Amino acid sequence: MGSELPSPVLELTGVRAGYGRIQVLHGVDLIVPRGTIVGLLGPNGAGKSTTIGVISGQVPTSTGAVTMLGHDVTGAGADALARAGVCTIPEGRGMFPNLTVDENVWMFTHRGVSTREARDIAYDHFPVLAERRSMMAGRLSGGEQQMLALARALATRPSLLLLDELSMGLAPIIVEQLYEQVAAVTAGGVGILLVEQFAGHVLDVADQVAVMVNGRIRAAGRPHEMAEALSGVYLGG
Amino acid sequence: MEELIAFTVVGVVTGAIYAVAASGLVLTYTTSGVFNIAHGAIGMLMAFVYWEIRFDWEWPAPIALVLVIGVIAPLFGVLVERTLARNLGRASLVSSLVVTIGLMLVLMGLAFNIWPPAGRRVPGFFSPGGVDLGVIVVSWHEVIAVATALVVAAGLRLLMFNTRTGVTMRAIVDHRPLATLTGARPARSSMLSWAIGSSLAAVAGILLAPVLQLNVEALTLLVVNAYAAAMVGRLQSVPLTMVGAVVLGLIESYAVGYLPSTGVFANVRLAIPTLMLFVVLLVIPEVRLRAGSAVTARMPKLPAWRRSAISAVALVAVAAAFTTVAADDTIGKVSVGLALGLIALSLVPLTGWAGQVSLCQLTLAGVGALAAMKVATDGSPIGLVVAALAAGAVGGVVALPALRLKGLYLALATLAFAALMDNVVFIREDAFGNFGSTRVERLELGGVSFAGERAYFILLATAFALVAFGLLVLRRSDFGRRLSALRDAPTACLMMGMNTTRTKLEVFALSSAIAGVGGALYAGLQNSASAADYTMFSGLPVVLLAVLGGITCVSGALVGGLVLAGFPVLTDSISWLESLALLGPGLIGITLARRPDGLVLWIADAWAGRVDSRQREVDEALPATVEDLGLAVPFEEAHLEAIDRELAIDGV
Amino acid sequence: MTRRAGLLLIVLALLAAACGNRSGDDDTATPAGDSDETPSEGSGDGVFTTDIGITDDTITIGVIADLTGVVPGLFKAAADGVEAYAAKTNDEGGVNGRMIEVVEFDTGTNDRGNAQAYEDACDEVFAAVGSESAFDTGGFEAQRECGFPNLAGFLTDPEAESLPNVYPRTSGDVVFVGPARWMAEEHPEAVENAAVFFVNAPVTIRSAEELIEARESIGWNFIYEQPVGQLESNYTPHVIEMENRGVQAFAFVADVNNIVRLQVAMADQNFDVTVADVNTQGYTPDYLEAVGPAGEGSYVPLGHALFEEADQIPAMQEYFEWLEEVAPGEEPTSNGLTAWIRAALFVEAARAIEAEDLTRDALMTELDTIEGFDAGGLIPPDDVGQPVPDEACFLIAQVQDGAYVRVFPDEGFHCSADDIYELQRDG
Repeated sequence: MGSELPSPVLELTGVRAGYGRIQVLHGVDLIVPRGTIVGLLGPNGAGKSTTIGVISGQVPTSTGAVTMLGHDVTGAGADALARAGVCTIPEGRGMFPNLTVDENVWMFTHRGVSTREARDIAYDHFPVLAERRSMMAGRLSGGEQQMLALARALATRPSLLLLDELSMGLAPIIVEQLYEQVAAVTAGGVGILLVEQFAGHVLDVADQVAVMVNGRIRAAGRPHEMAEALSGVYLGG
Repeated sequence: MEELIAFTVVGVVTGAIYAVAASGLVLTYTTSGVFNIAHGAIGMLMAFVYWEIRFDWEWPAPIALVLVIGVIAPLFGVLVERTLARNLGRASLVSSLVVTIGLMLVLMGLAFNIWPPAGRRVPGFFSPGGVDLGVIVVSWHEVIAVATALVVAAGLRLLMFNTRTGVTMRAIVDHRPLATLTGARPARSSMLSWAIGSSLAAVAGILLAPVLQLNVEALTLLVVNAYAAAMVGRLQSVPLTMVGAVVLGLIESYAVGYLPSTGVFANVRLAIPTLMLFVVLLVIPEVRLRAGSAVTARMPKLPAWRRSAISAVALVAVAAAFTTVAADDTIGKVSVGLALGLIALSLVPLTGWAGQVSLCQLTLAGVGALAAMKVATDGSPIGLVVAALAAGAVGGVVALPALRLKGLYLALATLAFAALMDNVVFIREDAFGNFGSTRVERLELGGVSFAGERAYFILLATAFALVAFGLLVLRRSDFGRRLSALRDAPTACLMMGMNTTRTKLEVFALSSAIAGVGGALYAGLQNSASAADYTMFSGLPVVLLAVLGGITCVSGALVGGLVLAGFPVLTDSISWLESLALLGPGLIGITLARRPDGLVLWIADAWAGRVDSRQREVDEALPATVEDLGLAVPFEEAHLEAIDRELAIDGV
Repeated sequence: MTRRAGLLLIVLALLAAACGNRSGDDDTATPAGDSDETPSEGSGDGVFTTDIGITDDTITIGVIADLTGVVPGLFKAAADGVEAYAAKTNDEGGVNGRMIEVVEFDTGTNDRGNAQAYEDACDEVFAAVGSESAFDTGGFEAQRECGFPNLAGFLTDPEAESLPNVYPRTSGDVVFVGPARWMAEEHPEAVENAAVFFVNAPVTIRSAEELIEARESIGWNFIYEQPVGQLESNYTPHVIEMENRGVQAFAFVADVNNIVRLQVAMADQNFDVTVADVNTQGYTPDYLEAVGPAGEGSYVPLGHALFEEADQIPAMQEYFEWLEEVAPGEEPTSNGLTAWIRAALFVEAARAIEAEDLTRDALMTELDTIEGFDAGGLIPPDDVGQPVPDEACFLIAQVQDGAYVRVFPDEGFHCSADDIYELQRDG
């Protein structure tokens, strides 16, 4: 993989997409440069999850283009993108509840890493998971489940990491820890797109923030600029 | 004691074969979401292929086995997955059932055409000979069957838990979107599961062939016995399925030894597999089955009052006109289509509108025919009334246990009910007479006899028009809206305090009554009624044709019936189509994999094609509203304005 | 169409096989009829068009058979048999100067088709000859209303069997027990410990009851009576029971498939009985092929001559030759032979009538008078118009080394008036 190419990890240009006849995204332009954490904020129903769906290959685009590291990947399948290095941690359950922790980690290997490597990385970063390796993932605590989900992001060495509503339902302290891990990953030049409804933690970790409303990017900029802009009106306060 | 041991051994052996059959069924269901009614038919076909290679071509057994189980069966499974099943996993339950029913009919037709009934022997492996346990001889073939079951159990366990392929299959069942996001290929897993399922079907078929002989329907239907076992494993767990299979085998075996062989017990013994299925369905805690609705076919726009009435009158008029030009022979054949169409019509409110999948409508039609036959031997119209009442009552009773069942469970419960009626009621001498077939007089109404072909044809058309019109009237009513609610949002119904129990009972009774009338008229048309006319098995094509025409619209039932009836008419004039007649309905059935809405709506769409595409463009330009997305927390316009103001976005 | 596929096919096989032969040891499945419905002359005097199907130089006859449908070619043998005999007759110069033309009426293997076939046949042909269908209940009304001579191969509707225009006449009130008596005399202890299996359907249950009643009157004793499913898959428990109870003989009222399953299960258990009565249905190459070594020693009672003895019976050779002529490659079968024999009966009756007097009525009057008809030794002598014959005849073959071998009598048929058992129970 030509890691010295100047092109950004991800670039969306004029993307329109939706479900059936209902269009949700009305021309989205978005760039995630290398080694950068981009926060995508917006109210419920703004199209954030659809954006994630488009990037990860789960939702087809009707017009517009998705480019990754300079390659046009518009229309690629979700599984192909995943194997190519797009790691998506979906909203809610980012693990398989009826598989053991070990088996969950085994599933990381579809990305082409060896089982041994996957386990080493996952259990090095999250020793608590190693203790629970034979446990059904559904019986882990919420935080441990998110650790397992994030372990995939670490073990599969993605070029692009998509995190959907990572903070939902978690204690702030745990979110803090997780973000540290995510930040550690960026050292490798990965691009990260954080999608959140509530702005708080995103503003702390993101390098850039985009605000999406009603299927369009309404604003983009530095977190502190956005923080001022959002304060007082944003639902998440 | 010795006897007990002997029966136990036999039961375990029988259970082993059930286990192999059921585990394949469970595997494909869990990994691809398609309950494959054709599973037995695949095993049947593969048993024939094995016979062809092993005994007709006289290739050595190991080569024949490897070829069939290791190559042909898996390839066939892959073919089925690629052409039919791939999109069915997410399709509606009724579509996937109907497509596999179609596949089963096609495979049976193929087998009949390639291997016309004749004596074909498949000796057991290493026959004769076996292990003499004193009280019983276990033949080598049976030893192999038990060993195979153990190997299959162990192999599946190993596959599912100790290989990444198997873990991936389980992951896909567990959380399909996430599995895709990890890079797993669900299509490949699904293909593999169909290949393995097909292989297991082949193994079961080959193990059964020496026991059952190479008999198309025996081999195809035996797997129905395995449904009970699969249900013990809740269609998910292979080990529990194996346990269920052995329990079933034991019960069957003990029943021979310890149940009296006379009177009602004889019938009970023969109905054990279906009884067990019924009981298991009712007793086991309902597990979350694969998401997805029973019916996804669109609801057509309700035609205006006047249009419905005009269509009904037009149908009768066309029918009357048809009788003046068509030959008696043709009229007779089209009449069959009308009568079956009427029975299929009973599925429209039940399945199409209320989302309750039933596979026993023809059985209920049989109840109607039986009731009419008993009460009105002279063709009096009271027969029709009694038919409706009797079938309605029976349908209501069926609905009672079915009330707590949903989706596939309900469908299988109705299937078990139909099989039970076959084995226990219809077969009785006091049902359809001592020869299994009884003459039926045609209707005589107010001094007008409908004995003639033409008159009866018009009668059928009128009956269809009346029932269809009645249903359309009903759909406008409060009841009709409750049905739609039941189909589209059963949980919401409960939350809104709707009495779903009452609604379900009502729609079951209504649908059954229609089927009953249809059955009585069908018997009159045939001038006879026999147990063979109303079997569980014959009922499957009726469901197929209802879905084929379009399960949500009354005209769909008519179209379905006429298509089915059209085949014999066609084959009369085009002789090379004859062999296709057997395959036709099945072939059409499997095309539903791509057209789940049915013929009527498809044609209507094609007709309105241009209007439609223009409409779509307009739709695409419309931004989605909050309501469209079904969001829990509406994002108000006021919020938007506030953000825009804060962000100093222009235009405010 | 497939609407009656599946289970029905088994019923078909069952009915077909069970009704395959009239004058043999038909105690396995003689359809029961009520005694007061024995044929009476005059009740069928409909309006006959005297010359339907007759021209100056042709007689058109029809054969109604299940030819296409759920089981393609189910009774094609019937049509072949009639065609073969017609070809033979025409080769000899026809019937008093008229050639025979055969029209095949296909029932489509269903009730409606059967009715339609009989209606069409009534309008188009002089008589129905050698017809065989599993769906005669459907065509019953058409047959009754038409009243034309119906020299059926067999009828599967008990009431149709007793219609006045149906030949040869039969009665459901008697059972021929000759073969069972012979087995009892040969193996007296064995038949005292007999088992009987029957498919759990009304017709077979009734037949089994009749079989039990008739055989118990001549020394059989049934210690195991067992209904089985049409698709009974597992006979091993039954075999264990038979072994435990000391069963030494069995009879079976079912289709060939079930008999084969039982015998294969018995062989697997190394369990053998002295008397295995596989009845008339055991007389097909299909049975031999399917049962394999497990069928060794089975008794096959027959009401017609053995195909294996064709070299001694010229009439049988003629059947083979003409069958090859009209349907090359087709194997001789009991059903085909029956149809051939009916055609022979038709020709014999028609030839006895002056050409200008040949009407449907005249034919039936002639048929009523025919006595001792044996189709050249293919069947025992039969008084065609008499429902209950004076004597019942049979022969018994046994499966030996995978072939049928005559075991009784040494030649021809054994006939006895004592072998006609009158059923005691009221219909």
